[in-house]
Amino acid sequence: MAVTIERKADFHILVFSAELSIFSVRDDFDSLKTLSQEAVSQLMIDLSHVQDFDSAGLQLLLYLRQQLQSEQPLRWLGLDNPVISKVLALFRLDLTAMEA
Amino acid sequence: MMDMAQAEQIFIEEAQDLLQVMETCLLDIEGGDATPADHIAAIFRAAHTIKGSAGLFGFNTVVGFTHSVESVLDKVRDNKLQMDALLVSLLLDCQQHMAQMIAALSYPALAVNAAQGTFLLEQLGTYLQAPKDLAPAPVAAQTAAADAWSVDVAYGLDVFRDGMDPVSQLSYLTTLGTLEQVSLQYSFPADFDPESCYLHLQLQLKTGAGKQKIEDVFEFIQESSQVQIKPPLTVVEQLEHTPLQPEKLGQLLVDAGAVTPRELEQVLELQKQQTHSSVGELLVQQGAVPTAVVEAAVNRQAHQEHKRASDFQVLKVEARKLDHLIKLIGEMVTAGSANEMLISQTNNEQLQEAFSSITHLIEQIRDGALSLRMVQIGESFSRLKRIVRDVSRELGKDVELDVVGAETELDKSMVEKLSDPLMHIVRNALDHGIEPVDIRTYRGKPAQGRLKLSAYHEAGAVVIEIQDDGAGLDASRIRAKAEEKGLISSEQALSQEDIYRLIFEPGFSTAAQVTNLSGRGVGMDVVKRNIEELRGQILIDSELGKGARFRIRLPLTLAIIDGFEVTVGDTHLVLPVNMIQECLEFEHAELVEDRNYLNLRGDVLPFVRLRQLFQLPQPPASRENIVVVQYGRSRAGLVVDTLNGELQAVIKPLAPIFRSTHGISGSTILGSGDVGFILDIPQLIEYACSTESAR
Amino acid sequence: MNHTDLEVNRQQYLTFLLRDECFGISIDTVREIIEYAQLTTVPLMPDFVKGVINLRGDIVPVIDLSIRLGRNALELKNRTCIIILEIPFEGQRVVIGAAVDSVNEVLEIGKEQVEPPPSFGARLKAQFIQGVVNVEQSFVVLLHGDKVLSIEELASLIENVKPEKGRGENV
Repeated sequence: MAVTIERKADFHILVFSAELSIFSVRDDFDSLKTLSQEAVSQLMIDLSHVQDFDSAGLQLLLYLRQQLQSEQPLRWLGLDNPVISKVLALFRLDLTAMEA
Repeated sequence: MMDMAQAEQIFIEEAQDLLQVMETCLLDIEGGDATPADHIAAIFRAAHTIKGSAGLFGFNTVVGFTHSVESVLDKVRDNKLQMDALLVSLLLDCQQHMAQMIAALSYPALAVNAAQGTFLLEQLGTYLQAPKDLAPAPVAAQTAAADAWSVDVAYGLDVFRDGMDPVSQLSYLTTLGTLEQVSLQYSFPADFDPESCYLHLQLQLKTGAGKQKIEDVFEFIQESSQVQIKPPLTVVEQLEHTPLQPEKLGQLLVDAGAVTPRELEQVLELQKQQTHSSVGELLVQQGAVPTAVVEAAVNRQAHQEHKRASDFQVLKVEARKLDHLIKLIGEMVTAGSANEMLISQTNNEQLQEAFSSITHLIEQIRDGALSLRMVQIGESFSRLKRIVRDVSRELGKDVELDVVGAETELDKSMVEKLSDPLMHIVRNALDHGIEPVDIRTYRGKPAQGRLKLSAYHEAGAVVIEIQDDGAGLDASRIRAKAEEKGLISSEQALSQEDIYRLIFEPGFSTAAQVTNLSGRGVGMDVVKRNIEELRGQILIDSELGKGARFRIRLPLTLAIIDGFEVTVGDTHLVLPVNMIQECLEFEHAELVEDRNYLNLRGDVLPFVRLRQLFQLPQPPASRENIVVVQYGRSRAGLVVDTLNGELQAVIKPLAPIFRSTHGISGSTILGSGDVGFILDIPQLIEYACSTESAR
Repeated sequence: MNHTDLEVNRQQYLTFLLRDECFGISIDTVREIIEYAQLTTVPLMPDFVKGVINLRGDIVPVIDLSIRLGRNALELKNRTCIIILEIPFEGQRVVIGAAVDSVNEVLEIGKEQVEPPPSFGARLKAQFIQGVVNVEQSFVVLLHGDKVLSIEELASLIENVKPEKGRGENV
């Protein structure tokens, strides 16, 4: 179960499944590769279903942000998911911020 | 147990020594005759040590100020700042300010210029806000909080695949203490692989845990990643203050919690291959500890060795103890020669031989003891360097200082008393001697003026010369001024040398001229008096338009001299052996027209009858001898009764009531127990000339 | 008057003769008394400087106290001796010898016995005299040792006297 891409209105919504870790990142990354072939207007990343989140997952998010934000502003869903927010707090990271 | 006041005194003395080091190094850098890296490290260490020790005593103003100086130096050391002329100049000012603060600790009456302090701190502040373009890679931009460990982990690519998770490491660290300045950096390559790790974690950790504990967190990624854990500055300070056994540097660092045993092991292993590198260097290279920690430990280690008697570099001894020892050795020399005299009368060859080895030992002990009091004059010279720099700037002149013979040794008590007169002569040369650049150029001289300081031994004396290539002394102007001030009359006939000497007359240089320079309103008369108090002489050579040379001739003093004993009537006199050229029988027939000149193998030799000069009551002996003495370029004969041979004479200063003797520099006790007087030949000749011209 | 006051108010003086005059000096400044022997003349000194002696390795100047007090020079006899004193100077105690005709005894004198110096007739600078005391029908003049043998004053006397003398005799 890798990432699924939903299209709602102008948004492409990337919905991560329960697993966002070293065990899923390869698949997640592969599914995301298709995205680059589509015309993407606005992106939303939904983390609300994530239950396993590790550094590999975090790295993937950081990679996405770096790759995608220059083209479109990123929107995030589920940043209040405690699994996510705990890790972000540890690293003092704010995903909504533009990358330095 | 040492009391606090004593400890403070030691701190002050140490700080003064360190400030001296700072000054010398800064001046060397400024003068371009230094390898900056070494000097910068030395300057940093000096500032660092002063700060550390001042903190122990709670001298907070010193700590605060020195901290800023140290921070700037730290940046210089890390190549984040360029040690340019401006910065050297600022640091020299800071050094001076620190010296003032230290001086004020022992003499609270000395005001510290607070405004100057604030100004300097502001100046230092501008360096501390380092401009961006000078800052190297942003990775290192992190500044360490004083009491936090700094952790830097560059994760290896395989960390995730190996089942390691930085998140869990980080959350474990939170159980050890407080995390600060956590920063996660990453740089993803074009062929990003989501299973590879590209993370680089930096953070500060405030914790009571030791390095081992922190390192354990990263135990399983040691192989794949680069982990650096640096101890907080407080550990550095702790290092400086913990009492230590004479230990190896590495162990020292391990004990302080700055390095783990494993790191040390690795480095020691590495050192086997890189034998030229020190453990400290390797630890730094490996990123195990920052340079500052190793340096603190090295300093500490050096300090430790310092305290171990066998490894002494410098040992401070109370002057009183040393004087006592030297006095005793003096007695021993005297007693030795008395014994030698008696033994020589016994005709017992075995005894004579046995005693001659004791005599030899006594000589060595004497020389060794005397050398204890001798210091190199270089210390005084380097103080003059500072003056040359500051004064020539003040006057807008460009002056190059040349120092020769800084290693020449003389008695420590003299060095101290010499510093003021030397300073005056140097300032005088800069102010009145060396011309401003435009005048020099006009006169066809190199724009840069030259001032040469030299010291050397000559005939049992130390000679110090201060030579400039400036305007020289203008005899006619000096004469005119002396007449105007009523020091001499217009009819008085004076030699060139006599005219030059007028500048030493009290009242010749007006206070207005000198206050600006010396700040004390004293003139060259004080210089002459100071030199004479040291039983020295000051001579002037000058050529108008070419420059002037001041020569200060000082006795080696205190000491014991190799003397030659003569008698006149029943007065025993001792001459320094190295000034004696020859001795001959005094033949009245060789007198030149019954004047005080002698025909010595065709040369004219002026001579002095000591019996007459010293007004000794006894009638002249039937047989007289003449001792030919040589000093500098002059030669003269001294007429005496008997020649008694060489001896080692322990110089005993004359009693204070005899402060104004002529031609006698001290007394000594002879092997027979009689008192002998040690002659100061140049002074004696000068006195003879003056009594002659007074007739 | 209790015991301590007694001690404070009584002082010991060494009495000595210069010709037929008797003087006293507080024993506080006296280190020892030695016989007059083996003096070495110091060149170019005024008359009151008799010379120097070797006192167990220290070279000590000796002053003719008679000349110093404005009288004729001492004539050497077998009772002539040197009183070794310690005089404070520039924070140190300088050892100096005073040659006298003979030393008498040590007297303990109460403060109340000491009379102020006479305004005239003592043929001495008033500042040298601490007081006068009557012992067995004769007067003893008590001297201020540190004034009579003031190092500073002696040094400047030597400084000033000598050049004139030097020139005078050379002519």
